[in-house]
Formats: sequence, C-alpha cells, structure tokens
Amino acid sequence: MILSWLRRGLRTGVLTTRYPVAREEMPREFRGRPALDAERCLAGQGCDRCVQACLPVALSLATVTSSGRDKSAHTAPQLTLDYGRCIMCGLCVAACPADALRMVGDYELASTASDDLRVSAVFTQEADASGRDYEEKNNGRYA
Amino acid sequence: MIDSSALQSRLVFACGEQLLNAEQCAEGEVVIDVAPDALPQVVQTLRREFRAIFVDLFGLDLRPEKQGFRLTLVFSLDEEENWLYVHADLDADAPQFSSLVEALPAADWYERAVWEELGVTPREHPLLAGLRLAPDWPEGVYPQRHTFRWQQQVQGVEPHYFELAPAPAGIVDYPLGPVRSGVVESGHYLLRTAGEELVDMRLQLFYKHRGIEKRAEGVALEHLPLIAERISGTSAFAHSLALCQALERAAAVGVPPRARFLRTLLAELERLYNHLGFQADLCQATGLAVAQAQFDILKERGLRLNARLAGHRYLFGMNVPGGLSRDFDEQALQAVRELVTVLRRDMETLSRLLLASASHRDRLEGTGILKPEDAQAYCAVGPIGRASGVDRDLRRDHPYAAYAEVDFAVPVLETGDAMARTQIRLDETMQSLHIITQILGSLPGGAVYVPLEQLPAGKAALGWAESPRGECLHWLLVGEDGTLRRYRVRTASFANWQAFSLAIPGHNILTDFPVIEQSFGLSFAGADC
Repeated sequence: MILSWLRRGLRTGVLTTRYPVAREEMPREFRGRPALDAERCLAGQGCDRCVQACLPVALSLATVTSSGRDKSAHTAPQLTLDYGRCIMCGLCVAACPADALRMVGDYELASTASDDLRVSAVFTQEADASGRDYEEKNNGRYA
Repeated sequence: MIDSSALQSRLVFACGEQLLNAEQCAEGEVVIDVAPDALPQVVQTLRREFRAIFVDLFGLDLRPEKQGFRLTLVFSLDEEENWLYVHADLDADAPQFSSLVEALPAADWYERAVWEELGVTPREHPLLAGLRLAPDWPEGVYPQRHTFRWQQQVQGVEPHYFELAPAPAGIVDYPLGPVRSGVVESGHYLLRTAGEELVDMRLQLFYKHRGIEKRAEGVALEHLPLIAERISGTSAFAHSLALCQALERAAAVGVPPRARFLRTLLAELERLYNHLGFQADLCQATGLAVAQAQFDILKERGLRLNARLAGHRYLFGMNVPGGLSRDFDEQALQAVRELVTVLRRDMETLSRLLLASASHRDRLEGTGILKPEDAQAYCAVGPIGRASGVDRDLRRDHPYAAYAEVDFAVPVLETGDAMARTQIRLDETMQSLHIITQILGSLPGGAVYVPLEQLPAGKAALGWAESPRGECLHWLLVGEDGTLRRYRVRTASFANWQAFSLAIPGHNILTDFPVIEQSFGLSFAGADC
C-alpha cells in the first residue's frame, strides 16, 4: 500500500508554487484591497456614501486644517482609508457614485506599523500648481 | 409538510392543560405557550409522542415594551417537516424555570448560556457556571438584556477560573492547549490519563467569544451577511445563507430560481473543500503524508475555484438578503464542471487507497466511539450525528434553496467511531459532486437578486442551512426601525462539542486523542459566536 501512495505522490510531481519569489496571480474577480482614486473622489463636495457603507469603520471622514497658497489656514475634509480595519467586502466600491474606489488584486498587506496601513486624501478646495485640488498621504506603498 | 392545524390539535391533545396556547406563526412553524414549571413535562411529551428533536434554547428580554423574559425552545419535527417553538414567559423580577437537563441532557450548555448572558436561572441545574463570557466578566452584567449595548465598556473583575481537584496518585493530568502548533484555533483540553488510557477529559473552549449576536442588533440589512460570515470562516456561506433565508422569510420574499440553484451549488462547493480538508487533516493525524498532500491539493483546487467564482476563497460576500451579489457566466460554470470531473476521478482513487491503507484504518476503527444513544441524548448534528445513527439532514428534512429539486442520498452509519465519521464524509463528498452535476444540468436563467422591502416590525423568522459541520439555525426578531432587535445563532459545532466529551473516556489511549479530535473536525470559533 505504501508503494501505491508513493507512486501516486511521484506521479503528481511538485505543485508547490514559487511564491513569494514569483508573484501569485489572482483571478480577475478576486477582492484584494480597495484602492482610492482621490482625483475622482467627491468627498470635497460633501459626499460620504462610502463612509456610510463601511461597517468596520475602515473609511472615515475628518475635518483638518490646511494652509492654502495664501498661507491662511482653512478647514478641509480628509478621507482616510485604513487597511488595518478593512475587511475587503467591497460595499464601498458599490456605494461610490464616482468610481473613485475599486477593488484591486493586491492582497499583500502585512506591515510592521499600523500607520503604514492608512492612506488619506485632504481635499483642499483649491488647485495647486499641477492643478490638483487634493493632497494624498500614504507611505508610497499604495500608489 | 403536514397541515399545521392537524399538528396543533395533536399538540393540544398530547399536552392537555399544560398547553396555554397553540398557533401557527409562519409556514411550517408552530408555536406553543406553556407555563415555565410545566416545561420538563412538556419536553418529555414532545420527545415521546412527536419524536421532536431539540435544536435550540435561548432567552429574549421582552422589556421595555412588555414585562419579563421569554424562554424559547426550538424543536424540529422532521416527519411533519415543521419547526416547533415552545415559549415560556418568565417573571421580570426573579426570572427562572425548572432545568431541563435531566429530561434533555443536550440543554446543559444552552441553559448555562441563558443564565450567564440573560440572568435567567435554570433551577436545579447540576453545574451552573459561566460558559462563554471571559473569566473576568463581572457578575450581574448581562449582555442579552435590552439595556446592554455592544459599544459598552465592561470593567473586568478578579478572574475566576475553574480548578479541577488534583489528580489522585497514579493518575496524570496532561494539559493540551490553548496555544498549539499549526493553525489550530485556541482550545484547552485537560486530558486525564491512567497509564496510557484516557479516563477523563475537561474541555475549556470559548476563547473566541465575539458577541456576534449582540453586534448584529441595529445593523443595516445589507451589513448583516458580513457579520454572519464571520461566525466561522469555513462555514461562511452556510451561515450567511441561513441568515439571508431568515431575512427573506421575515420579508415574505421568494428569491429567483437561479439564485436558489446557485446558492445550492455554492453551498456544496463549501462542503467539498471542507470535507477534502477534513481528510487531509485526518491523514496528517495518522501520519499518512502523501495522502494528506493529495487531499490538500484537491482542497486548494476548490478554494481557487471559489476565488474565481466569488472573488473570495471562502465564499464571503456572495449571499445578500434577496439573492446573490453576482451572477456567473458560462465560463465560470465551465470551471466548476472541470473541477467536478477532476474530483470525481481523483476521489474514487484516493478513497480506494485510503480505505485499503491498514495504518490509517487501524488508527480509526473503534477509536473515539460516540454511541448512538449518546448522540441522540446530546442531539448531535451533521456528519458526527450521521456517523452515530442520527438520520437527519436539513437539506432533506427541511429542504431550502434548490435541495427539493435535486436527488441525493444521506449516508448514515451506526458504529460512531472515527472510521464512521471518515466514511460519512467520503460518501458526502461524492453526493456533493452528484448534486453539483444536477444543478449545472438544470440551471434556470433570469435574475439572481430581488430587493427586500423594509422588514415589518415585530416579525420573527427562522433561517436554516446544513453547513459542512451540520445544521445551523439563525433566528431573528425585527425591531421598530427595520433592523434586528434580537439575533440568535445556533451553530453545528456548539451542538457537537458537548457530545465530543463523551467519545473520549473508557476505550482510548492518549495517542488516540489527535485522531479523535480530527475525526470530529469541530470548529472552535463556530461554537463561540
């Protein structure tokens, strides 16, 4: 009987993948992390639909003080997406009226600092030199 | 399903004046009211005259609208294809009832949970102690009372741990867990041995209590499946299905036929990867390394197909109240067909090899016997119950989704040993493949989702599903604003863990324990929502 198992095992060969040396491709439908496209986001215009749709409060809106080009301080809405709280359910994507959120295949979210898992965008209401009316904050991993 | 008015008159006749009221509360559901002190007698009558199977016991705080508490027992009347609720209204100041443990041993843990979480006392309970809450939980704080909110901070007190009397001379206590190697969840066993023989075991579970029932109160309808899916990840689809079916019954909405068929398909895919993983784990326990790898390969194929279909390897996010969140195209269905072909071919070979492997069989035969009378007394469910002569399967006895429209067999064995539990799962795997083939051959077209209106206030509903580990029940009561006022979950593992302890002492040696544990294949988180 041991021989039968041995034969079976040898015939199967090696199926172990080369991850993490080689990337493991996920199917198109796979829900990794949600990615935020601040350019499309309407949080600056008072939209909070994704925040309402988020059960674990991974998405949150806050009001922050930012200094504009004239150096005067004024308040601006800040949308924060915390991958440490996200459960990848995709309900925010369905709720977004502007297609600013979409699920991407990226599932490699391990990090040694919880701050690294937060991305946010501050909507300054006025365009800077490059024409952008928002400032993105993240550690560069989630471009 | 039999006419419920005939059932009501039989109930009135059998229970006599102990019955305060009997009525039909929904299609296939009958409710009777009894006085709390008459409960033990009524339960005995129901079990004797109606062969009623106990499935759940829970309490409900009726305040502030009404006074006092309501104790609800749920029974399954399989022959009549009906659910029977027994209600007993309890006093607000000193809520109590006569313990049912003597007449119904399975009620033990349920009564302890009611006592601990609602503050309702089962009189003459043989061992009234905390069950699921943390050891430092303060006395007199009852999470199931209407004044308690899930956001509430609870100040811990000096923890009280259960201490076993020291082992007598010649007896050795062997602690196992709660932290163990691999990806096993937390659970602590204290194995008491005399030489090699296992003479007793004390079980400490409930390290994973998350208060899910409480968390679901007041949550928006579309968020509820997210909560149900997290009761036990490996039964996520069955749990969200039971919840969605309860919501759909409350709203009196029928889901489109295509959604019913696809739900059946996905439920069987969940059973497949669970049963394949079960065989792999059991082979690991018996040291059959190649067989373990072979079953794990098949399980991984199942999980990858799930990711392709649902976008999630464990089928999260598929069920929504009113149907499914997405439809499948022909390509996706073709991928299912291909996997079924592979599994059918491989399972035949692997089953044959496995059953012919003497080293594997030797470890399983006569090991961890759960006697049919114990399985019945503790109302064991699922493959564990079916391996010990409990001929029940919700898919056949209370058909849901599209199970009434497919043909399948329910394997039942009487021996109750680890071998029987393995054999049942091997047979069920083949039956699942048979069901999936039929579904793929007769899949109707059309929509997979129908929106639900706001739920009617005060409406109660039951949803159920046969998860890979056995029956799970979700009962809910709708509050004023269309959200849930009370959510009750009875998982398969909660029912089976009580029976697990009975399979240990008497005929096993210490090294049998990993095999027995794997052969039950119970979920820790599943028992502890």
